[in-house]
Amino acid sequence: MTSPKLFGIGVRICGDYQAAEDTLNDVYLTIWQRKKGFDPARGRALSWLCTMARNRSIDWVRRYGRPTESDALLASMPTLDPDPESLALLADESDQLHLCLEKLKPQQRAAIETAFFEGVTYSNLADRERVPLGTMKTWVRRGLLSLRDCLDGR
Amino acid sequence: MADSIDPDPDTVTAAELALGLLEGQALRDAEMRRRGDILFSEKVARWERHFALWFERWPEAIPPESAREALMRTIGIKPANDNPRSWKVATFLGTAVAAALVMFLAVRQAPSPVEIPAAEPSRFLAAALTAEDGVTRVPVLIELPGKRLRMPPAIDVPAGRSAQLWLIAGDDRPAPIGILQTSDRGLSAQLSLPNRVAEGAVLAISIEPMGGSPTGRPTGPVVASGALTSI
Repeated sequence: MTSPKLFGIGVRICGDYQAAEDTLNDVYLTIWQRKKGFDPARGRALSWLCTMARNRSIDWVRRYGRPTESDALLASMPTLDPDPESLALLADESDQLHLCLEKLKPQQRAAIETAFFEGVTYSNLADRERVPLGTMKTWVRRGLLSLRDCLDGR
Repeated sequence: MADSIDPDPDTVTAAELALGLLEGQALRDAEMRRRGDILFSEKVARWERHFALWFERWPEAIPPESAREALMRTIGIKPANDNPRSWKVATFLGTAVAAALVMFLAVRQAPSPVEIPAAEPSRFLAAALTAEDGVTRVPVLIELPGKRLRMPPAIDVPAGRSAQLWLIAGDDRPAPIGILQTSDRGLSAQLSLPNRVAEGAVLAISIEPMGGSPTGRPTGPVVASGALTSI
């Protein structure tokens, strides 16, 4: 079922259940009202839905800010599966992403993963890691370049 | 900085935009480029597809019932509040809608030859109609046994004409089953469906004179069609 995944994305990025609900509703409304429909050549359905949910959640955080994280919400927030075994069932392309990520320096990889799963900006990342903004940008950009080269088979 | 070590800084900027790292002027510039620069927007989309593989690891969270109800309202289905099974029905509707949404996105698969017992309550038919361009998919949801059809406002009906729905089962002649009406939530129709609809029967929409084809057969262009599946 789609909505627990989409709702999970909203909850994690917005840090707010009501916002996650609004985001989920917004995603469905967009699809339902989308006059042009969906071009299947552009990607798999679930990936597309998830990407839209993540982008909408990030838009929400940019507009309203991330709420002060309450203990209750944090306690109930599902944690990420740290076990790469869960990736075992994925297709080859996912293996490739995984392999390419393995090649990155730990700090590069961690920064990119945090950016993805938390939906945070460069400044947030730098604050969290207590490094200068420029340093964080360099880590991420070098990581992204390595990732691109690896994914392109260079 | 990336600019000094890479001849293709666009790729990095595209990834930064896809991840949501940018803010302020850099974000506004990148968003503007995504809207106006096809090559750049393709790069962003490419990164999004790469990163989308990570969604497999994303923890799920069960939406509260209020989210399901809001979803139902969004697409114009009212959960029956006086029905003791309303929660169950609402849950099922949520699943059905999600399934319909995913289905219209997915590449259509060959339908299985299962007959749908229309007498059974809380069943739905769905279809991913292919529009005239052969690419665009449009979702359609039919509630059984109410025989109410809903779809987004994806069909352009010229003034003074009607969009008529047809059911084509096997080699049978297309049977007229309803006329699409415009509402504030898209298009809908009250269908006159047979009690049994064969899985894989095709739903088609043609543009006809106001009120429907005078001959009982499609006379105008078919603007969308697709196979029905029970969900």
